[in-house]
Order: sequence, then structure tokens, then C-alpha cells
Amino acid sequence: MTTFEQTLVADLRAEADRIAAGTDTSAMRQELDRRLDGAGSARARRRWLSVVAVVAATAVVVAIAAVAVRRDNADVPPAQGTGWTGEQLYARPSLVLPGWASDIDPVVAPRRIARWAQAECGQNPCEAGKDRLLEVFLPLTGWDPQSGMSGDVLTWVAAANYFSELTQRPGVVPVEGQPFTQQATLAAGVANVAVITTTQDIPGALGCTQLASSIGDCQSFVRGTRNVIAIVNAGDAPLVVWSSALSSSDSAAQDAEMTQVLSTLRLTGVPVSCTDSVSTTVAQQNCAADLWVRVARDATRLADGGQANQSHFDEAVKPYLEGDGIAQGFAYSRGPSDGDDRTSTKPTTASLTVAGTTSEVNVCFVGPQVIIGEGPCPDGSGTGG
Amino acid sequence: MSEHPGPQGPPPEAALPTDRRAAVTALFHAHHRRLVGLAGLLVDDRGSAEEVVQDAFEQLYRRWGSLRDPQAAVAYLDRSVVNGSRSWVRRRITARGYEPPDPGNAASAESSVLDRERGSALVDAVRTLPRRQREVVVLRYFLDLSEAQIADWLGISAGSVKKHQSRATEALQQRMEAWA
Repeated sequence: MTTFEQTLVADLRAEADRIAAGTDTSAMRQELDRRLDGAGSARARRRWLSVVAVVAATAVVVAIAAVAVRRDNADVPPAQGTGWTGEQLYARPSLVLPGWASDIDPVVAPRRIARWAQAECGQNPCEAGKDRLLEVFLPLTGWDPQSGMSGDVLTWVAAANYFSELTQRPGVVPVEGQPFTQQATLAAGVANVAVITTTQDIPGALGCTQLASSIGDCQSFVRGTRNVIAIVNAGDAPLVVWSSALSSSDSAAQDAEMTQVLSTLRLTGVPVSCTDSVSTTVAQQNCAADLWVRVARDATRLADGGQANQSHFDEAVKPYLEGDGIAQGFAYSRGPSDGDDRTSTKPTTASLTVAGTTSEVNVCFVGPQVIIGEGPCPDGSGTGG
Repeated sequence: MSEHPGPQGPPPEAALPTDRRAAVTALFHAHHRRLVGLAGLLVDDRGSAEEVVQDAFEQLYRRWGSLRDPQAAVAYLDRSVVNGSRSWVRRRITARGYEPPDPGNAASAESSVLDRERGSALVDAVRTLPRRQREVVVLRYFLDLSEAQIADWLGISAGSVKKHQSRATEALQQRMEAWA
């Protein structure tokens, strides 16, 4: 072992000791006791449940037979699971969830993401089939690992190249044959569907749900997972339906789940009249929900890689103010002072009223990016005065 | 390379109590802090490390009856903590929360890596390694596992272990030279 390696050993041991020194062993012991008490109860419960399960299984068989007879007679559509509608999401997607997700409360971030994940698999590593993920999200941008920032804004047109861009990333292995993607026509519209595994973790590969300065805002591939992905045209924006499971899981079952999800997917809030070009059409109310995203995107484009500032924002909003559907234009207030805008973390605020509904947002200038949202600006960003 | 456990590993277990709960409790007292340290080297906050270790003891308790050799319980715990830590990082990535420590940003490191005063520069550098390299470094130099054992634990080839270890030590040495 070299001197350097000996130093490494010593430093790792010291670090581990220091970490452990901060832990409250007594509290941890109490926590373990609580867990072991629970585990003991669970064992007893399992014994009872094994008995109950036999009885229940018999009952289920009888019930299924009864339902089957009723279906034959009444032509009732098969029960498929729990329905869900993303009222808070752009394009307002609705779908029928796979069984395992039906009892899980999804994590929903306003506007762009809903997620169902099996949080506890009971052991490490998880058993196959017990580490599943379903996500519906609308990526706003790609992730550029070189710059450590979000990349280009994804429109549906750009999303047509989404898969080809994905496949060019090191470590991505499409498991479907040629052609790589399938075109599918759903009730929700046209979709491209692909199955992908990766030989390594690829942070940010699936894009980011906001203009991001952190990989934490982006979706990632994880090595050892099988991913079924559908890109659906949600008006101007791509909507991604993503199913992920351990590669060792039952792929046929995963495909069947995804088929069910896609076959039941409906988009009821698609801004059908919105186009990618800047025009008054976006002023129509059905486009308003996505308007701030468009302004952020256009302002970022105007900054063209330089420090984004208020003038870029002003230029970006101008065309939208001409829209017929806007009853009242933008009103925005500057940051705390003109002199130190770039070091301030207080955002510029902007508001828009369309058909009597006003939304107010914070506008942040993060390097070349204009970020518009309801939260505070990231540390270090300025109002860009 | 010696057989596991390594430099931070425990002495051979004295005879464990025959009662399952008493045995797990005895193992807890003997190894809890060491395991929190191990998990802490693989994840980025103490709370998660403690959680991973709690999970490991709970699993051990649940599976005590299926252990062929209670003396192997320590190895089971070590491996369970490594797997748990890796799973935690994996879930963190899929949960969109993964933010690798910034090697050039001390403030960021201070705020995101453990609620601690700063450790050595070398350990900080280990935390900036790609995940797989970091795992190999911890298993090799903290747990003192052989390449074959690491390959088995991580589910990769021995050649990959050698490659990751080589790249990691090279990167660490370069980082230390740059800081010097």
C-alpha cells in the first residue's frame, strides 16, 4: 500500500469516526426497539394473514367468476384501476393507474410533474417488481452536463428528436429493435414510445421540468432499470409518461401496465391554438396557463448566452401583450434597488390577468437564464436590472 | 488483502445470545457507530446514514432465522448497509434530488454534506468522486475488501473494480496536488 493509500485509509477512518460521534446512540437504540417491536407484531400478523389469505383467495376466485358472468351479460368495460387527473398540470392529463400505484398518493409539483413511486421495497436491494416508478411530466428543457445548466427549451418539434438525442448519450441502450421508437396513436394524440436501459446512471438525461441551474430539477436514468417512455404531443409541449422498474422485473407486466396507462391517457387542457411562434394566438385563454413558461423561454433566448436581465424579459413579454385574449396587461415591479439588482435575491414580480384571472410570479435572472416561478430566486441570482 | 472485516471491522464475535432479539441488540451495541460511519461515507447526510443502519438491523432481525451462521451476522450487516446506502443514493437520484457536491464550492459543501465541521480535504475529494468510484474507494480502503469481494458486492466485474479504483486514486491524487 502506498503512502497515499495509507493516508486515504486513515482519513476515511477518521471521517467515519467523526460522523459516528455525532449520532445519538441512545435515541437510535430506542428507535430500533420500536422497530423490532413492530417487526415482532408483523410476524404475528403474517401468521394470521396467511390463514386469512387462504380464505380471502377463495372468496376472490368466487367473486371474479361472478364478475366475469356479469360482464358477459352486461357488456361492462373491464375494471382497470384507479382513475387520476392532473388538474394542476399543463394539458391536464388523466389516466388509469396500474394497480400498485392506486394506493399511492402521487407527488405532484404544480404544472409539470406527477410521480408515483414504491417508497418501501422492504429490503436492499429491492426485489424485482417492488421498486417501480410511474411519472407523468412535461420537460421544459434538456440538461447540458457540460455547462451544468439546463439546455434548450423542448418544444414538441424539438421533442421529435428527444429519443435520438437520448440514444446518443453514452451508456444508453435501446432494448427495442429497429426502428427504435414506435409511433402510437392514443386518445391523447400521437406518441412515440421506446424502451430504454442504461449501463450507467445518467443524471438529467430525461430533461428538466424547469429552467434549471441544478440537476435536482431534472429527471435521470438509473443503471439497472428498464424504462418505458412515451412522448406525447401536448399541444406545443411534449408530455412524457415514464415507467421505470428494475431490469430484473417482469418486463411483460411492465409493458402491460404501460399499455394500460397509455390507452387511458386523455389530455383535456391542451392549448390547441398555441403555436411555437410568437403571435397573438397565445393570448387566447387556453394558452394562458403556459404563458409564463413561454416568456421565460423567449427571454432566455434573447439573452443569447449572456447575462439575462430585465430588458430581455421586457422584450419577451411585448408580443404577448398584444393578444386579444388579455384583458389586462403585465404589471411588474423591480427588485429592491436599481443599484444592486444583480446581487439581490429579491425577485422582480410580474402579473398577468386573462379573462379576470390574475397570476403573479417571480422573475429571476440566473446567468443566461430567465426563471419564472412562484418561489424565491436561487441564491446568487440577481434581478438583472 | 485480508478477509472482511477490514480495518474498521470488529473483532471476532464472542458467542452471541441465543435469543434473536438479545443477539441483535448485542450486535447493535457493538457495531452501530461503526456502521453509521460506513453509511456516512456513502451518503451525504447523517440522518440518512442512521436510517440506513436502522434498516439493516431491522432486516437482520427479520431474517435471523434464515441466517446459516449467526457469526456471519456482522458481514450481513456490513453488506446490508452498503446496499442500503447505494439504494438510498439511487432513490435520491430518481427522486430528482440528486445534487453532487461541488468540489470547487466550499460553501456548498458545508451546507450540503453532513451537519459537521469539515473533515479532511482528501475525504471531501472522495465525496466529489463519481458514485461508483466513491463506492469502490470506501469498500477498498475503509472496509478493506478485495477486488473480488467488491466486484461481488457491487455486481460488477473485477476489471471494472480495478478501473474505478485506478481512476479514483488518480483523481484524488491530482486533486490533492492541485490543492497543495
